[in-house]
Amino acid sequence: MRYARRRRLEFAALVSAPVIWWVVVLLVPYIIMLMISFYRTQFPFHVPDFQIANYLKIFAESQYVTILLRSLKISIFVSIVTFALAYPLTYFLVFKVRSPRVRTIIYVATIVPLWVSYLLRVYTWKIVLGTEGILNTFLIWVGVVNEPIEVLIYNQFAMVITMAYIFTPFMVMPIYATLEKIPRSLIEGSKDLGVGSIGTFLRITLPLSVPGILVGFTFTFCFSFGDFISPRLVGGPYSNMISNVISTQFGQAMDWPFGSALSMIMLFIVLAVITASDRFERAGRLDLG
Amino acid sequence: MAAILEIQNVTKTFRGGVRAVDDVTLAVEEGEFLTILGPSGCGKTTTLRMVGGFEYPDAGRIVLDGRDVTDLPPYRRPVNMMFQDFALFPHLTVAQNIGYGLSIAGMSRREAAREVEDALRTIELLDKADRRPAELSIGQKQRVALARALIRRPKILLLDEPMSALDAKLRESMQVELKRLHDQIGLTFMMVTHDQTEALVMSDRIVVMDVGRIVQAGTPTELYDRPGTPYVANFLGTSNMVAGTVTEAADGTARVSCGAADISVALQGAAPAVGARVTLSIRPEKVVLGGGSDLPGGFNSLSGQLRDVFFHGDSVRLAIDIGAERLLNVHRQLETGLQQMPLPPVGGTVSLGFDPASVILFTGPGDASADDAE
Amino acid sequence: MATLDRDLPSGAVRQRPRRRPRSDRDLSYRALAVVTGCVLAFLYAPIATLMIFSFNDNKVMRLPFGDWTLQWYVKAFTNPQLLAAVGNSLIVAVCALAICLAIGIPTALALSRYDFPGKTVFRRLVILPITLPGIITGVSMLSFFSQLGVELSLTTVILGHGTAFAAIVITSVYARLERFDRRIIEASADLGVTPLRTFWKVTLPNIKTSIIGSSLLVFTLSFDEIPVTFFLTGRDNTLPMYIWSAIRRGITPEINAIGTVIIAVSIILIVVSAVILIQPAERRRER
Repeated sequence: MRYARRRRLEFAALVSAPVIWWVVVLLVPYIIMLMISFYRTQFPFHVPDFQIANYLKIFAESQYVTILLRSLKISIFVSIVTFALAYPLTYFLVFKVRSPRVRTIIYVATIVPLWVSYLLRVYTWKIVLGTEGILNTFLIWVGVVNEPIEVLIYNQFAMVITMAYIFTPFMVMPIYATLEKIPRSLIEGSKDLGVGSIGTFLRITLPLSVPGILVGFTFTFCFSFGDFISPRLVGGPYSNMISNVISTQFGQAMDWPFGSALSMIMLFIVLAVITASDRFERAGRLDLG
Repeated sequence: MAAILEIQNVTKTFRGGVRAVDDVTLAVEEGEFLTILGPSGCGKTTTLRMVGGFEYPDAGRIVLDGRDVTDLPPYRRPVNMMFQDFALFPHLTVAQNIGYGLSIAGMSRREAAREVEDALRTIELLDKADRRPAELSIGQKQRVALARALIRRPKILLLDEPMSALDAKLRESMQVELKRLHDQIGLTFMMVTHDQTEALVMSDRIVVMDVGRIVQAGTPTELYDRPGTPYVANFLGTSNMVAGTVTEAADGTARVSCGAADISVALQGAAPAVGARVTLSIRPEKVVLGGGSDLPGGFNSLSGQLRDVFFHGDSVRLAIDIGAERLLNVHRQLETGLQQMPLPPVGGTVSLGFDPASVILFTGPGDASADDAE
Repeated sequence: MATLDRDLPSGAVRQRPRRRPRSDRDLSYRALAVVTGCVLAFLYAPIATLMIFSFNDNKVMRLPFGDWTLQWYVKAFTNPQLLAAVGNSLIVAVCALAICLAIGIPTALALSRYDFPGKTVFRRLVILPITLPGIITGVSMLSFFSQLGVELSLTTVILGHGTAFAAIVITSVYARLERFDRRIIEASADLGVTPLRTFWKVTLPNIKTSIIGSSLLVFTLSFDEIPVTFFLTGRDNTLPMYIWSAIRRGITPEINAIGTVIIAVSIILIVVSAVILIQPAERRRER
């Protein structure tokens, strides 16, 4: 029975070590954050308590409701824009490009920017869109306009463009994966049954790519929702997102309980979106053998 | 002959309460080619994996060459397995795959290299020594897997569905090759398969399993000619199952009324009670066409209506209605000889007959209940 | 072509290989090709702009383009604060990577090999840091460290990155483990090799590509990380934090120079790893 005991020991070691590690560095911090969200603030400290004033404040004060709604709106816009950019590109790659080599090269080319510093990618839009930036000075230089266009930067439009730029690869990847999996025979079958190209696209290809689209939307939505770099760099005064408010609470405002409550709300929204999309995806996923 | 492996009252239940192996007891004799045969999910693979050490029984013992190995991990057992789909290491070359088990066995590098070379020569793959498994054909992969398992000189070679990856042609030649190898090296082989032909062709002894239990064990001819249950009769080859009622039983023979036909049966075991409902198993190839003086004495002689003729190339299958909704499949070899009786057209009447000794009688109605194991 | 045509029997109609009719198919091809081109331009133009302007001697980044210069590179590489930040970032990235591998690989193994109570919850838990916004990892670990009374430093940043990015190693190694034939592990045991040696001789070589791939990603992401670092760093700045505060003070071409270097290094890393990872497979196929 020596080996039976050794097997049990091996199991215990290989499973419990990672479990303990993750409970300590991940679960415990989340729980602490949850606890602090019920604390009371006595500037600049917070004292243990159990009350929900921090949560009520979010929904009672209109500025926070505005920011929350703005974060949601911006994230949805970003998802839509990235989808509009990514879908034609992926469709073209999977169904139109004949050479597998060219396909791979273009696909990799759309993914590679992910490896380029996030911060720098946001920063490039600051220098492109800025009042004294490259786009404006270019337009003045070629004589299209005389004055710099002010609306290019420091507004929500600039934020959406910048984030869409950053998150496009995350939309391309899942859509590419699902489109690639659609058997060509289904498309040929549809055409064989007398349905035209557009009809086939609408009735076969698009519905079958819904799971990938959902995953792409989830990615871009969640990433945009949590981003606090783009709002700061290209967003301007009226573009604060929820993450900016959180970072302020943990910084200058020194209101950790309120910041924790906001974080919990953010965590809840993101988890809800992921769970919902997961459920939809599972329900919509067809067995393509 | 001594038993090299004893499986004693072994039971294995998987998570979810599925009893994969249920109180199995089996002795494997040194040097024999034993096959466990059964449909998927019958527990045959789990049994083999418990011998290999990949699963541990919940109850019972496994004794290998006089030593209790029930609890030993696979790397402490002197058996080797040829895996289904071969499980060759994709990152190692053919030579490294074959030598993999040797580098551990404390053998010197040069000695191991020579052993590998010998093995490569035997399987005629010396020129492929530095290839990776992905570059080999399926037949070559199988030979590498075999060499890799044999190089450690196991006490038993375990074969888990060894032919399942092969196409029909290759399968046939590999069956012959494996059988020849077994006869040459005299090693004990224990194979698991769901393919009855494979089992019949290769084995010295076959163990038929169903829902975790052993149904019957014996030589291929024993199992084929004297199946213990309708399940075995159906699993090995095909059989006509004809329901009937016993009308007479005495002196080692019984008469069974099967609708319009009366069939006599040479009894093997105890005589059934008169009036009992029974099922007869009649092999299609044991039935001959002809009546009266064409048949040897004592044969059952029946007549029926020819319903269908199915052409099989070297033979035809006839479906003959012997009355009362009983259809008999009859196998007829197509020979060049002239003595074959011409067939009537479909719908015509044919006479047929078979030896009472070739009929197996099972008590009970025709469903394949497999409880009366050996 | 013409000579061939002449050889045809007179009755044969000269047939060119028939092209598909120039109908909506060609049109949609072109339209999609144009969109694809635009998206690629959208993805690369800003990066290209940044790189080009790092060689421009205009103090303000604007058109028309001034003279070519390397002065921003010289400035960047002689800026002690910036160099210190680069050093810190390297330390953080290397140590965080070590943590991610040390904890990520065993976690992936546990998830793939064993069944244990609460496994589904556990699997969801460990991938939370890459599903949730980075700021949540940052804020929760900040609360954690402050409760423990740990002073913020590069060490806390390293722990934060190790926690935030281990999920990348876990998911990638887990996916690889699930894909390869488990029976080769059994085959190794069957051939007399102990589990530990099997891990080194069979498992590791077979998950190697996923480890290299995810390591590369973890390194790059850690080198570039802001949300977690923002909350967990003490007095020491990492490179992105330095750039971040520099940008907020005002744009300087120095940042373009260091940005160009970072981008160049990342691209070299990608190409090198692609060569390492893809080449052996292709070379083998060609043989």
